[in-house]
Amino acid sequence: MQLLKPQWISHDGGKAIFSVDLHPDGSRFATGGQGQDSSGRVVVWNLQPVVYEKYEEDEKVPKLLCQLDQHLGCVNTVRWSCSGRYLASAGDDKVIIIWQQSSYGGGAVFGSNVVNVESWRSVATLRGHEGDILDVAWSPGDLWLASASIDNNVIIWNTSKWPEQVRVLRGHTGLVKGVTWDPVGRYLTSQADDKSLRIWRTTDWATEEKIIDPFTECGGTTTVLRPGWSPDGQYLVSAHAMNNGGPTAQIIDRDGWNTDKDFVGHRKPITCVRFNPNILKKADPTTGKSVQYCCVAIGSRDRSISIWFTSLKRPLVVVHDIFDDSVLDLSWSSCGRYLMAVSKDGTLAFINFTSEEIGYPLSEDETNNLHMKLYGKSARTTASSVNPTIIENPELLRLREEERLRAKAANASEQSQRPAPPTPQRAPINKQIETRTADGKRRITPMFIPPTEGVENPNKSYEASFSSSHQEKSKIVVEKVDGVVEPNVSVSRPPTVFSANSSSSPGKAVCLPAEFNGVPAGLPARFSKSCGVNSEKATVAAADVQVTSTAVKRKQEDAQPIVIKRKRGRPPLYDRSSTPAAPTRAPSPAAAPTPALPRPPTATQHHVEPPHLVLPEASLSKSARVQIPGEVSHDVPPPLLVVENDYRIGSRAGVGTPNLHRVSRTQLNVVSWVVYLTSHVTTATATSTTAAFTCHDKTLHILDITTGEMLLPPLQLQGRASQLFVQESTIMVLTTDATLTIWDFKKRKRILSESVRHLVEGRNGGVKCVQLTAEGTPVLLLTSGEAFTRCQELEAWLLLGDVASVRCLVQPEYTMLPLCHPTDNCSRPLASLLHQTAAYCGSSRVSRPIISDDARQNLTEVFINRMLTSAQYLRSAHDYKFWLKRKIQFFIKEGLEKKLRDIFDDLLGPKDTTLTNNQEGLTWKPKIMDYDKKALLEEFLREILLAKNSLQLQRLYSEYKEQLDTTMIDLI
Amino acid sequence: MAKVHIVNVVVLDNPSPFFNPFQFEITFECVEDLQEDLEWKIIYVGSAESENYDQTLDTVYVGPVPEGKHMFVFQADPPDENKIPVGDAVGVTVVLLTCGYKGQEFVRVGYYVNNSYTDPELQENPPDVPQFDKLQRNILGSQPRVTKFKIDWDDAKDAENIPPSENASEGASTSQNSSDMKPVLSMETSNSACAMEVA
Repeated sequence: MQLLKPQWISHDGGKAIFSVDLHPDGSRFATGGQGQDSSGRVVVWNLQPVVYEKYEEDEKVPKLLCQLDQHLGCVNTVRWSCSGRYLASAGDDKVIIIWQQSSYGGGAVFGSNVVNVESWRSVATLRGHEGDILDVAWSPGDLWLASASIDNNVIIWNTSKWPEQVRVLRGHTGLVKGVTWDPVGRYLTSQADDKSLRIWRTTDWATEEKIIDPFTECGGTTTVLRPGWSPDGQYLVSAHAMNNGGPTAQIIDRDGWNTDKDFVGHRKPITCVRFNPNILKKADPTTGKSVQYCCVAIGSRDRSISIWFTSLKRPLVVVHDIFDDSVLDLSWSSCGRYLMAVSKDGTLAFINFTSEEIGYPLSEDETNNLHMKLYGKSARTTASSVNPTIIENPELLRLREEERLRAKAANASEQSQRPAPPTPQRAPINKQIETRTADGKRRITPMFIPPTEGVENPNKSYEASFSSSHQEKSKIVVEKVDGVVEPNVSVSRPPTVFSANSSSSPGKAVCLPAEFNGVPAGLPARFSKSCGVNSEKATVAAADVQVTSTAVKRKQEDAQPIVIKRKRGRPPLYDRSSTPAAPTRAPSPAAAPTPALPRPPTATQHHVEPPHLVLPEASLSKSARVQIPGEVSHDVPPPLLVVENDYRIGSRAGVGTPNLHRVSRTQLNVVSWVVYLTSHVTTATATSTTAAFTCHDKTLHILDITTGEMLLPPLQLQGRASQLFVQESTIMVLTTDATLTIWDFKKRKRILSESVRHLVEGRNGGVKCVQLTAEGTPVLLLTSGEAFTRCQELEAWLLLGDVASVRCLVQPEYTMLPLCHPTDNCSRPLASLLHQTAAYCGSSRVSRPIISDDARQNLTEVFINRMLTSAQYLRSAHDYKFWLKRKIQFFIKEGLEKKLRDIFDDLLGPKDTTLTNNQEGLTWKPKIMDYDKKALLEEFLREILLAKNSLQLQRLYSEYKEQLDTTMIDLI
Repeated sequence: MAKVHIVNVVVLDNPSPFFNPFQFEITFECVEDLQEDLEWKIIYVGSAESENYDQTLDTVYVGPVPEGKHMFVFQADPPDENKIPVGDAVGVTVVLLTCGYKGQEFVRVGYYVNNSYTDPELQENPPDVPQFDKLQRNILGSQPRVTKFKIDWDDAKDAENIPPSENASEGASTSQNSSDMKPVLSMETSNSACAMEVA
């Protein structure tokens, strides 16, 4: 046995190394840990120089093969796939990156002294965890990848279809710190800080066993808890467990999950357990008989490593004080003779055993045979049969096949219809193309460098030819193309600058050439700005962006002289709130002598505003146009109701002229009628018969749309208008004191006048709009996403949907609204209402707080139920069905069979049809919201088939399908 | 993770007279097709003392950028000498090459630049008013300083934007007590403290 600690293996001079894994082909190994400035680093190393001294001394043999700095947080785990083709790495940045070697040669890491001999590029980035990921594990045969995170979940990823999640395993109530598969891929084990270790079945991803006893005394003092499973599959060994107050590694017997043995001796909690991947054999020195056994290495926070044989009661070897800090990971080579360990102290230890010491590995065939004998399956069979579950119902297969074909056909037709995607621009490979954008900037289409064929040149020197400068000029051909292009950028998003992460190696090691002596003190700071400077700059940049975007806009508007095109209809509320002072001041004729009124500073707003105001007053920009609904013809543009505040009459607008504001009806630049006003118009709306607008002087004007004739003298409101809505002869006004009034102006009758202060106060955001549903029920939408409807009978407001605070906790895939056209608001009132709040779709981008999964699951269910109730209240069958379907999808995803049964039982109705006529039949109705329950059941049963994890529910499917079929036959 | 990495930057036409354009040959790799253009900038630091003397020499959009390795030459006009403080004309300063995506700067490469007279006489007795046409610009191309910034890329879920929390570290109370540790590595084939108990 040889023990070696190569000094050259380090992350940036001693940063903690959290993980190590040897490549299955024994050529290289990977380490993961901290990189520069709290970022993460993965390094692929050459194994040869570690094992053989002559290679270590040979300058020509590269030691570091590739350094990957893409992780933004410490890398806690690196694992090669069983095939060796992929490397998975994951860490504090909550993503898993799957790496594959690419045929681009290597190259220097720009800005550092590191030269990459190989090139590894990410083939997939897996996002799904909400917390740091501490461990990942490839299943035998690389079918799945399991990841464990401090968000208490384990996610199973489909390795053949990144980034598909097969299942989220919820159940742990503490940080999950390690995962491992059994060697035949039947079970997965995860160990967590909740003092438990769970064994999950891979057939249905349910918990096979939860082991608590050995962990009750454990405290969460370890960074990781990586358990291990013996290669013969017989034993699972946990990380940190306790026995009589002492730290142990618990041995869990596969037969009955008994926990009566453990490895004792470490003085501090055990962080990692790794079995030698081979079943070993050795001749017993006394009897000469061949013994088969497994070998396990255990690493602990007491900075020591112990190595044990299952055939011996004492450890083979214990290495004390091998590190200055906790052991964090262990890895065996596939030959079984090399062991590597890494530590928080940033070093790596390598142990080289002889075959005499460690034993001789069983061949792969022998191992597989043993597995077949013991478990009826092996890693090999697992790999070949993608779906290890028994399909009990032939119909399931048939339906799945049908679905697959249908999806394929749909795909094909979609592809044939769509024009070629805009990607094939993979070209220019010999030149760069330069065009000009409208503002005179260049837009360059870069030269594409195709991957070089053939992996690498053996004679290639690993010298850095990088970061250089040349006397000569560029050889790249620049093709200049005339014509103006639009840069493909969106400047709308304000730049958010996150923490700076300097990957340079400034100053200290490198010395500048003589001529660069006397660097001014301020200069080095310019390379990596401090964060404070950054955010300052960011806001400046944000302001700049706004300026440029409006400038561009103005330019576009110059092209088409209509300036009023900018805002159509009522501007959204948040626009108003940004310039709330403008309307308050502008309309008073005496104070505003010139039409071009500078915007008063917003700071004065608070003084102007009377304290009782609940809502901001509505405002229109200088000019606005409202499309008048009516018959749509393609030849003539629709008529418009045009509002022009501060209208300039001729050129005589001078000092002393009162401000005039005008409202007109325009079609094709032909003005059919005009009304002049002396008060600022704050809101305007139009229907096919009526035009209505409110002014700052608290008046409401109702006009005939075709003639411009006043239908009523101006109606004096009790406050300034905040929202206005007109439908046929009903008019609805929400004033700034939060009073909602509805009139029928034809019948000259007030329908409702009520304060809605309680609805709008104390919530973030204001009122989005008020409106009437097709049935004439008033609805109030808030910008925060709440929708209230007034129940006539109860004389109260009801909350439709759910409040924002709940929505942001629920998984976004369930809060998404169905796609909805503005035109089908009759068929789907709920969806269209909630769509208008525009709050539901955005919820996925909001960072969601981490709550326990049980809570989230419950809230999701409650949320869907609320949607169902809302849909029921609105008597919207479409909405109801949509949310019922989503509920079923949710139950399927979570595997809540009992709840599914409840729904299905109700849909199916009483089993005995004769009972239907008796008292039970009175409660059960064959229809729900216009839908036939049985038809719904039929449809929802299909959902089971489409679900990814459908196989565990196949019995449920067959059970209900059969019952459904029999009731159908009975009916006939 | 960042979707674009600079593979290499070669400073071309260097050293060169002050009024020659800057030329950077940039190679970058992109891991996923980008939805929008990249925006590259060359910023000349006129004076170490203040950012007010920074001059953005040029801004270019680069796109479309599909997955893969790409290369382009970024040429920009020399700085406006009138905006450079007289005292800072000769000597060492910095030129910055930055790249942004969706209005967010994600990488910044800084180079030291030395402006000096080639004429020995001028070197000895530099004129009070700098003679820019006699200055030579030398960019220290071999020593770029790279600073990366975390930004919000296309589909970055909220998860990625939250700065990673500190890794769960071990309790301080249980950290090593080095007094009882042996200074050298020791090996034992058997240890009474390490026994496998069969209960």
